[in-house]
Amino acid sequence: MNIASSLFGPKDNSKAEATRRIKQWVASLQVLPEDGIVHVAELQCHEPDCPDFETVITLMTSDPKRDRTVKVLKPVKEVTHDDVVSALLAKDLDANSTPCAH
Amino acid sequence: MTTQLKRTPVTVLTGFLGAGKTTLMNRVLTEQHGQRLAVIENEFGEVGIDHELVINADEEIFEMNNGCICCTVRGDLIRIMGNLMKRRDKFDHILIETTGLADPGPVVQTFFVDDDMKEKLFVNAVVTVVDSKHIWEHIDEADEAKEQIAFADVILLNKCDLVSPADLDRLEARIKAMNGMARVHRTINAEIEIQRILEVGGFNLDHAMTVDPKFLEPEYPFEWGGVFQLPAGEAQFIATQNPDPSMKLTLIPVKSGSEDELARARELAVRIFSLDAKEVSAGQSLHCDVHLYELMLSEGEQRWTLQVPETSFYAVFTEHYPEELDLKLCVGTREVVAAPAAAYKPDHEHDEEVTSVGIEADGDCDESKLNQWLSKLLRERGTDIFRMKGVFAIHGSDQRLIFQGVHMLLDTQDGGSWGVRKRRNILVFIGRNLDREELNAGFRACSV
Repeated sequence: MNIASSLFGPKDNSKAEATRRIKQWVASLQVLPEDGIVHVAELQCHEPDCPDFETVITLMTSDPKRDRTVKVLKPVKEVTHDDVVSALLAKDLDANSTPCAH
Repeated sequence: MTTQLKRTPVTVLTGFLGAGKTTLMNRVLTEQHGQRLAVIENEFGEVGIDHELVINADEEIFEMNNGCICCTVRGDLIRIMGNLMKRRDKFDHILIETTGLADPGPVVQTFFVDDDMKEKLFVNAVVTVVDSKHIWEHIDEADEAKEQIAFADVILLNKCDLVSPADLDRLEARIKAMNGMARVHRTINAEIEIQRILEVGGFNLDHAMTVDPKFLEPEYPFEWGGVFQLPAGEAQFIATQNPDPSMKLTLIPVKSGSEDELARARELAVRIFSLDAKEVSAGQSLHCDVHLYELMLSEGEQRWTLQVPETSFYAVFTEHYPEELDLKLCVGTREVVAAPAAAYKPDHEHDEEVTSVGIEADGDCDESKLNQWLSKLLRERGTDIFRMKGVFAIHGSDQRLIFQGVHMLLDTQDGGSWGVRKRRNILVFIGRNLDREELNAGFRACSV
């Protein structure tokens, strides 16, 4: 597993901008009501067989039972619009799947 | 165009039921402090003032990564913050009151995970209100009580009018052993200047030095050391009290009765105290031979003979203060007084579980080494580290680097130029099973 990117170094707001970008993409997909909140967190996984970073995107409404969480296995700055769409789509397919009849 | 607003401070108010959180909250809401507050509480019943915004919250633990402690946040607070951030210009400060059994960890972590939120909000302080009379019923048993103390930046020992000064001293010492970083105030009815709550400035590590300078001193396996000038022949240790079954002691020949010699002997004594001790009962002899002795104590007056090989100076280090045993060193009928002598911060009275480790070093750190060490430390020990704060002097940079973390989550910010200030690194850990030597060694390896 790679050592994490620098904890220090020049402080810029590129991660914050990337976070806001993802939130704007989710908002533009109109998958949340007006009072919905998008939460984006870049997490570091410590398991040996996991990628070093993953971006967890949580769609929250006033009803916690309806929250949805999707993950993109990349650092937040590398997440693309297609990644977000694919993750949400995969989540939808998973949520809508019905058990096999056999 | 984005409006450049300063980050909004967030203060978390916690403490067991009945400690006085509500009383403190009402003070904050009713006193004139000049700040517009948004208050988030878990219960109705607070007195709301027209200019205050009071929001009710239902505690909701949200695990982002199935069981990973650092990925556990408060979903209800995320929702509330998300909405509050749409009207940031309406308030100056956010105050969150948790329930009595709340774990402050997920609350604090909520403000560390979303980088967009981190740009808009920062944790000003975790304020823990402690019921000075009843905390002893919880402090050893309840994890929440320990966590609320460990996570605190400010601790109010409330209801101190119901507790004797001696018991308050004992409580404060116990709390400071767990959390050496927090500022502790003794209060009645949660009376305190509101600025001490609202203007802590989460990154102001300088307070750690002013509150308790002893906090950053190294710890030793002995509480006292002194140099005696002794004639060749015999002397006697005489004790009349026995607060403990035994006490360890060592004697080291030194060249003179100077502070330098005492300091040199002190470092040797640290190594000697890690060896096996020879038990000596009253009536038996000790020698000035750099061994570790264990005086076996009993009731009444006890005497041990000290064999002194030559007229010279001898440094003595004792596990406990000599006064606790009423221990004297006599030649004949004359008591010999140690000069110089020193008291040391002991390493053997801390809470077995939650402790604080403070590290201080002048000079610069290598950024790359510091990054590697901290990254590895947090990955491997992050679940045991409740909070961490630091000020670093990074080689090649004129800026003070201020650093705050909870479990594995970090936040850094520029602390301004060092200017004429001495470049000095301070790092504080609060957590479980902390190995002081390991942490010290790891940090020292980052020095330039």
